Amino acid sequence: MIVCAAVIGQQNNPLYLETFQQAGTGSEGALRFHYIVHCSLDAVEEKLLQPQKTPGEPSDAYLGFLYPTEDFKVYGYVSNTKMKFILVLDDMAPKDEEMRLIFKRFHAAFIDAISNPFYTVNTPITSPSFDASIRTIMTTV
Amino acid sequence: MEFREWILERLTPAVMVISSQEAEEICQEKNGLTVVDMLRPYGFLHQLSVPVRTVGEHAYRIREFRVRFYKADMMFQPPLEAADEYLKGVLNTAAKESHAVEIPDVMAALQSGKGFLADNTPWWNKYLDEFHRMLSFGELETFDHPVGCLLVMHAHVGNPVEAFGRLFHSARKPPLMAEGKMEHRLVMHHLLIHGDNVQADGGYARSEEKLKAARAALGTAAVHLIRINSGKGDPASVLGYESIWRPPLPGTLPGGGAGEPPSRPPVPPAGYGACLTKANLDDIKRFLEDFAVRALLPAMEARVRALNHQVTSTRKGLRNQLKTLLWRKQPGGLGAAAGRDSPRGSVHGGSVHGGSAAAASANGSAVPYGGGSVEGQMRALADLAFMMQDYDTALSTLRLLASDLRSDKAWKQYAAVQEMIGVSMFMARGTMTDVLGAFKEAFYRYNSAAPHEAQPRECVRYATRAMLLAAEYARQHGACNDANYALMKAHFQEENLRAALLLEQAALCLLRVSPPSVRKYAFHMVLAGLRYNACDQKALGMRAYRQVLSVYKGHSWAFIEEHIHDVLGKQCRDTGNFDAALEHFAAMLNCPHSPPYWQSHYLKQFMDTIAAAGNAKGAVPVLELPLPVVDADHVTVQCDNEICHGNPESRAQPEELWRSLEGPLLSGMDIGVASWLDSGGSSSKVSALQLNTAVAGEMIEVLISLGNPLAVDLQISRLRLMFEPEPMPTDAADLQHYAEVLEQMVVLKGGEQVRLALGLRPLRPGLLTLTGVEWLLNGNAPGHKLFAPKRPRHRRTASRAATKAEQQSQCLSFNILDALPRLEASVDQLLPTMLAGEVRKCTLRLRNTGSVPLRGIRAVSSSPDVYLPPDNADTSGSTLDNLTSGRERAAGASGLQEPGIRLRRGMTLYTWPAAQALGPGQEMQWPLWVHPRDKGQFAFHLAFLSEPEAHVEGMSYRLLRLSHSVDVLPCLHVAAELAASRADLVTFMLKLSMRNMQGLQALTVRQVSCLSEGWRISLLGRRGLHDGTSATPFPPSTSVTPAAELPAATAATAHFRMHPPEAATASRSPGEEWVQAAEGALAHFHSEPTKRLQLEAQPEQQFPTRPSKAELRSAALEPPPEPSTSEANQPSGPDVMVVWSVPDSAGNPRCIGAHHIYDLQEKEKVAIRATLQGEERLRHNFGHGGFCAAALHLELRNCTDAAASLCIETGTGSPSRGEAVWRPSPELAPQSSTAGDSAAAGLSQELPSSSGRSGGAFPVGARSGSEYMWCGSVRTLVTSLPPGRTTRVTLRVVVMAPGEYEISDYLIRWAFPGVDQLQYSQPGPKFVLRVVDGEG
Repeated sequence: MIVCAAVIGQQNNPLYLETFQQAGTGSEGALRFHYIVHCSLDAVEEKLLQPQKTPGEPSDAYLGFLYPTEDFKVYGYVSNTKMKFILVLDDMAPKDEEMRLIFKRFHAAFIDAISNPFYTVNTPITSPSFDASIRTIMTTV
Repeated sequence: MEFREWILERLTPAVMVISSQEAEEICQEKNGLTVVDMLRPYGFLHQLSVPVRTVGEHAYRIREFRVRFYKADMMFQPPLEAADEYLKGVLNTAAKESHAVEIPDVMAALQSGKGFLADNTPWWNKYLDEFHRMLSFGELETFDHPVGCLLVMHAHVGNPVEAFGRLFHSARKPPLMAEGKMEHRLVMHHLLIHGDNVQADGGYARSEEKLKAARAALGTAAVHLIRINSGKGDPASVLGYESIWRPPLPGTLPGGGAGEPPSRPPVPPAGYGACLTKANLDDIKRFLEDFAVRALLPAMEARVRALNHQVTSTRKGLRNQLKTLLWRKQPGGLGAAAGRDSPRGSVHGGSVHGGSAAAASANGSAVPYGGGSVEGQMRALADLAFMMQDYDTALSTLRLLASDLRSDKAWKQYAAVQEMIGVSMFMARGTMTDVLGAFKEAFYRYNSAAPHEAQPRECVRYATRAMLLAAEYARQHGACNDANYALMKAHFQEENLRAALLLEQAALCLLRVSPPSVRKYAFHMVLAGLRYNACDQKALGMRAYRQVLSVYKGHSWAFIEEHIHDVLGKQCRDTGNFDAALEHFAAMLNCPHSPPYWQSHYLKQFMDTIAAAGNAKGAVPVLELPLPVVDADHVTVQCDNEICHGNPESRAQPEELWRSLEGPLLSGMDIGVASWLDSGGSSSKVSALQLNTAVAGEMIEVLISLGNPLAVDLQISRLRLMFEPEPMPTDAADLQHYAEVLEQMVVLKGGEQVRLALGLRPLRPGLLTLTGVEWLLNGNAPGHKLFAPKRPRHRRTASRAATKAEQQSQCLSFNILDALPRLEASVDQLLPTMLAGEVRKCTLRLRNTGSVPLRGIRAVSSSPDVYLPPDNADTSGSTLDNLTSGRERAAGASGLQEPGIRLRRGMTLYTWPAAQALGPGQEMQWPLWVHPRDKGQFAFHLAFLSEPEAHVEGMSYRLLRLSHSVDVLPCLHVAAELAASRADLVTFMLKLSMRNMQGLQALTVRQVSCLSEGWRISLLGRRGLHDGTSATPFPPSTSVTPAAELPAATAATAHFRMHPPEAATASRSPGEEWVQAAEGALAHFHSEPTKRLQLEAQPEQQFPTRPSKAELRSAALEPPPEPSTSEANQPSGPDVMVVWSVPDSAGNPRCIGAHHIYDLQEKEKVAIRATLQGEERLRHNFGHGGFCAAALHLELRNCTDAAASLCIETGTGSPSRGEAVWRPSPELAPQSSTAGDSAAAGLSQELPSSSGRSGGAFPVGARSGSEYMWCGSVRTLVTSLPPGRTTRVTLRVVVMAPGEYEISDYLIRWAFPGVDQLQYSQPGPKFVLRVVDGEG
């Protein structure tokens, strides 16, 4: 089950971070995920620095499993514009294809949200419709 | 320390020391050292070359060798709780010293490339050493078990041999030895200590004799004598070798253990080893070399060989392997056999061995393998071989043992063996994967065994030790990720204190990774801080949090920053460090992302801490508070130097506008513009650029933006500017003598942003710098914000005027000048909204608010629609009073030096007499007429110049800028048409189509004036038409007063007759005037043709960008614009002014306005004007005569500039098309039904037909054409009619019958022989002839 979804901007600043955990929500629960997501940026950078297996091939946006914490697993996805999408999962061990699909839907919802002409680039996303669509994506898994 | 070195120091043979009470006393009394302590530094033997042969055929040499000495009864592992308590004490002591260690700025260190590799956790190394020590003497491994026993006796004893025997038997042995888990057959060695301080018979010689006796009994190599305490113990004779004892002295536990006694002897005043001389130390060294090389090493060698033999016979070889494979797992099978086969097993009651171990492990209990079991022997062999530096033997033995223990499922022992395999493999230079694999396996097995153990935490400690070894190994070999992994793995199982330490080290490992994983480091540090706090290690916890602040700061991770500041703030507050607590709590205040509840909570928390700090210290520190948000980077300075701003609007105007206005004022003055040719260094110019100029006693204002990002209201009081005079006074209380600061109070609602002007009034001349702004938040928390320092710009970039102005508005340093005069001006009675065309008299008040008199006032107004009369006579009275005609006008009290000089672009320069001074506080009033002509916004700007009466250094003049803006509403729209009159040859008809553009109120057209030279105007119709007297036409005059009311949103048309100069023979009286049109303000405004000015200004820019000095001078001297020479050839048309008023409720004029129409031109130019006159009504007796003849007079006037030749043709029929045709004016009528009333009242009752023909329209049924006949010649020629001249031609017609005849079929042809060859023609004006029969 996905317990946290986050969008991180180009300057590694959080644009959206929402937790979907039933138990342990509240400021402390959210704080923990802030730390975990922030920490995962190291893993993202590490993955991005890795050389491609076959030179010239377009790099895959899906970064896969980033790192484990005590209780969670963190997965990542990075767009061509270096927007990072982070999902934190609890005990579930999903297939890569499933995760890839979820991330693509996540990315599409994000594109819809920032296409809003009233949204200022590189600021936190507060759109309720984006939040609703993310909740739909995350809870249907 | 390097890992290999650490292992070589740590895993070395241990020697059990049993010393007599007397021997201890000899040592401790004088030197503060136990016997063990005294021997320890010399346990490291180097530069050896001892050949040894263990299990192989070939001997090898040992070059270095370490021996550890322990007191026999202290060779046991302390209880778990005691050990933890002791370790906690160790950490507490070390943590107290952590304040001395600088907290590194991780981000700065990483960015600078220096890295963050220096050891800044000294408490960790101390803790780690003690942690390993607390785990020594365990039963799982044997390298802490003694390999030899040293009996120490003082040399003064009577019979040493007997005494040694008694000592050994009476001494307490290590507990494990008593339990049989420790080898008790050890190589024995004896040491006699001769203390020179002991007064004994015979002295050292006697001791030597005893040595000889003992050697004879115990063996030559087994007894030694050393001599100590030869020194006197006074500070003068101390060798200075104390440092060799002090560092290795480990701490003590209350019950002893881990090799150390419960307490240490007191340190003598002269330090450790005070009475030991160089000879004594050499004695000790010699003894230990002898002991190690001659006794210990041979004994260990022999023991290794013996153990190897036993292990080989029981476990090695094909037969033994098969036996193990087949029978090991059977209960009692191989184990029993092993027990039987074991030479040691029977000795120590070898009932405990492999077979039973397997059974026991199945039950989940711990499995003790005794020293006599095969497994015990294998472990002892491995450890001994390791200590003998035969790592291959150790490794192979351990692997064999591991396989046995694995099949026995004795996981704890197996884990210990794996741990040792890891160490051995490292020493045998195995691969990193293998070494780490062994450690990880050990960790895993320790943890899996823990739940089945009586003391699970013991297993956890061992597991942690395995991971610590792995981490240290990996870290030192560059695998920091593996080190981090090992430490993280270890911390999960551990209690808080150790977990915190492990997390901290794990975090530090991440900084050594390339590239450094800073975020992970920060996260681990935060976790470590959390664990530190949980185990009450606040100092280290705070330290951990502080280290990571720089990682999160300014990276938009607000929740995390908030959490760290919260934790740090609370801890600082609890420890009484209010300053730091306030800093952290203040950093949390700017939290718009948090819910309102938390925002108010943080605010309250901060305010409570402020109050607590105030109570504790008596004063509250002034912090750089984040609330309210002050935009310190965009601060605008508004101060008046030589340029003063009279009102805020004037600041909003572009600098170019003011420069264009002030140019004429400054022309002819020395304005001090310096060029590069002027003397003076460039540095002074630069500094002059960087400093603003202000005047003492005058307000300096700074515009700043304040914002409240929170959802809760903020009360900001005592908001004021901070400043620093130069030089800074030593006493802060003296600051008030330098400037007076105005305080403000503002309540910022949630999310509100305001821009405030903060004022400061300098009191003394000198230098002064505005440094920032300070305030009191919510009545208690003082805060401040410093302005961002402005970097000086390069002169080239600062050269432009606009840039300079911008720079001045941002420069926060001031050169304060001494008191100067200051002119202030205001315009009273100016309404914010006016009607288009309204004329309003306002009052201009000029005051000198400075403390010095001023003189030489000059002013420039930007608009021609603003007018200052030459004297101030009309200052009092209303607008109407001053405009009404016929009033008595008194001369003003003071006047301008000369009337306003018109400049280009509509500007007007007014100059007051130079002698007219304005003293401090004096005021001068002047009427100011305002006349906005067009709807929209009307802005006018006034620039004043004044000079101090007496010369003041630094400023020779001051400029005042005043800007006003008025919203102008549309009022009256007037369209005028001029057409030639058909009644005569000279006058014109003026048609005014007027529309009241207001939707609400009616206005009255009060007066129409024609102020053009020679032109007059008159009403249509005749005077006295209604009162029965003889009606005469209205006389032409300059003004007429139609007094027609125009209701709201209606239109009306009015007609007037215009008399050109050539016709105005009547009186030159102004006629009936409501207001003075020919003089005063109205005349001034009428003479300012705004439209012409606008046209003039259009092709160029609105303002000249940079007028040159010459241009400025010439602007002032430029004469008023002459009428355009190109227009001189064409006579300009008349100008008409329509004066209207809007009545108030009582019917009195509320406001007065004027509409100006310039240069009226005929709609269609008529070259030859003609009228046909004659007797309109003829009576003829047709019975007597056949026909009636009538004479008609055709008046012709040449309205062109050239002489014309005319030809009148009669009987031409209807006028042909294609020729120039004179058309009569269309019939004019009221344009709307509502206008009918006014038309009836006199405006429109006159039509532009001849005034002599009442009735207007032609009669129905008038006959025309062929029923009358022309008489005389068909063509009448007028050979030359000069321009402007009139001629008369008489025409005759004959009619045969009575009736009405329209005489029209004749043509007027003309040509201008002197100009062109063209011919023009027009039909002649019509005439209606009425003929009546005389008989009727």
